[in-house]
Amino acid sequence: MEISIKMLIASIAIIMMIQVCLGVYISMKYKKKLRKTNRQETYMESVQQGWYDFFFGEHREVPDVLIPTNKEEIQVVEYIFLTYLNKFSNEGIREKVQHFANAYLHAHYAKQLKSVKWSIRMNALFRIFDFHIDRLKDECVKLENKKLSTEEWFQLFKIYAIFDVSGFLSKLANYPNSFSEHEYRKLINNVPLDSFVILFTHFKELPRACQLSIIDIVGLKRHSDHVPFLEEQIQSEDSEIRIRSLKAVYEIGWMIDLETYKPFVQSPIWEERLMVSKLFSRLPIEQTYPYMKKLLEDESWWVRSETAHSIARVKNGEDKLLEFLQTSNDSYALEMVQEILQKGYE
Amino acid sequence: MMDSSIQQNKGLVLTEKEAASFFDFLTANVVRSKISITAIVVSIRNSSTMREIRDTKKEMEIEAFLHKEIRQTDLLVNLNHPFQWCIVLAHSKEEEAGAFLNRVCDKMMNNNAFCSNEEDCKLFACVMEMRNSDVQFQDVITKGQQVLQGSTGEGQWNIEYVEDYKRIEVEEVKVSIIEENQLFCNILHTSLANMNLDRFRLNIQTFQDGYAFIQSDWHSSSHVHIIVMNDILPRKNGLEVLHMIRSLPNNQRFYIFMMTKRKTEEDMIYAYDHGVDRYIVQPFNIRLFESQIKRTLERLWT
Repeated sequence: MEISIKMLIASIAIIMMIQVCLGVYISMKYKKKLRKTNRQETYMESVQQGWYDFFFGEHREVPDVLIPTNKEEIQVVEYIFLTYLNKFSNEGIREKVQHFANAYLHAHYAKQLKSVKWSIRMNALFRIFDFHIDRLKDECVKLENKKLSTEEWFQLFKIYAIFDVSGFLSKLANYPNSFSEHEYRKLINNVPLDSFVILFTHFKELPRACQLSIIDIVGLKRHSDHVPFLEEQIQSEDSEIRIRSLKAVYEIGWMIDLETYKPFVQSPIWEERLMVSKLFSRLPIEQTYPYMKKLLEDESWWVRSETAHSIARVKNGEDKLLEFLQTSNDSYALEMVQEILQKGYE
Repeated sequence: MMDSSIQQNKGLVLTEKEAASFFDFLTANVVRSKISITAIVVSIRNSSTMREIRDTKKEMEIEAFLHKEIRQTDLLVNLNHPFQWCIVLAHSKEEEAGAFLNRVCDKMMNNNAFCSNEEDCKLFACVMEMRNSDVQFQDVITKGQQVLQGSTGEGQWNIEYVEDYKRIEVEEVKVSIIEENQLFCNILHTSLANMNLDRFRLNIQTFQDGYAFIQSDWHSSSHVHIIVMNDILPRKNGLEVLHMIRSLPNNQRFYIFMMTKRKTEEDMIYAYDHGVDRYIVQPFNIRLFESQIKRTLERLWT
């Protein structure tokens, strides 16, 4: 196929024209962005002292000058709020942000929630969660009628976890898909500590991964009032729930009753025996030694090792290990104890 | 007097003339070491007449007793005026001087023949704490003697406190805030700049990353230097800056506040083991942070 010279020149000219237009377009876009950044920086300069005084001062009323009037200014205010929330724990900051966002930003996010663009809706959900905008709770519930992505559902659950724990749990129990344990942990972590009792009430109705996450978070929060819940779970038929509960009790660091945990010394599951040997290190060695001696002679290397470390850490533990060396015939256990005594137990 | 001055690891006993140069040496170190010294001008008088005692033997006994009571780092100066001494307590504030005098008074009352009878003699003391180097020994002696002259002698032992030399010169302290978030940096800057400090002037500079701080010569001066930095920073992170600072000679003048989001005990132990002075987990209370800075500055003077 032959192409005439004229055609070729015309094609080149068109391509060049397109390139020039593209170049001009990109350069205009860049300049526009630069102007926007400069405007936002200038706005930031003008309001940052005002926000400092508002958050750290006595005044509860917002000066008019701090109220954003357009989208660019709202973006700056978002950045300011996130910085204060993430960096400072001063009493009142969270409440001031929530009050301001409910009063002056709710309309902006309500509009964003109705957007057809996923990213804009997601941004609104993130900010409703970050700033605790409870005025938009109903708007969030309405959003459920739309076809939502998993990410949007996840953000919705995060919002429900802070505003309405009962509703959050019933929705979570009926949610057709499931989240990973890591995601459940992120959700549960947002439940206020004083609402954990509601979590415990609905515990059985929740997916297993969520149950495991609740146990993990209870351990991380280290609240001694939650030990009875965990001691209930160590009677579960599910071995993983039992192991996680034993671990959580250990994390909380609360004094334990020997009788409750004694049966785990005989457990056929080595992880349970390992956890109980860790737990027994919280009690005086004089009380636990008969059980620890048995665990020192356990068939699992992990249990033997953990038990030897646990004994060595407690008061008079090294004496007990020396006593064990004199009395035991188990060569595996003796080897472990000798190693701990020689190398140290850190 | 000098020949017999070093006995059983006790402090020196000097004449008024000899003491002046020692005193200058001690006061010159006051500002640099930020540790006060305290001078006590002691006068013993007859407790009934309030006049001076004229008994050379007793004067020697009292001097030997005072010499026994001072530490190896202290000076006992025999003043030209009879029955008057100046005790210079190194590394001591007026509170310690007060405790020293109480101990001396008790012992004079209970254990020593020269003052066993209350009617016999009475101790007058003027305590002067020194926190700057612009003090001349002769001025201190004159001031002490003037105060003691005007002392009425009420009470069993008479101790007067003089505040004249406690003034501390305003000291410049450098502060570096190393933080990537410009707004956070500005908030910390405002907070520190607004702090009400009597004895210190904070010279604050901010850096966006660890490399910019290391490359600057801002950390090279001999000023006390407070560093407030994030553990995660672009280019050189907080731990690298920490290692660099702690490898500098005279690094004790740096007080490092490490801000972090990580709150595991292992991270904290690691940071403290490598030379962090305070580990601040974000989010933190800005007022608490200011109090920690204030306390750090107050502790500079011991």
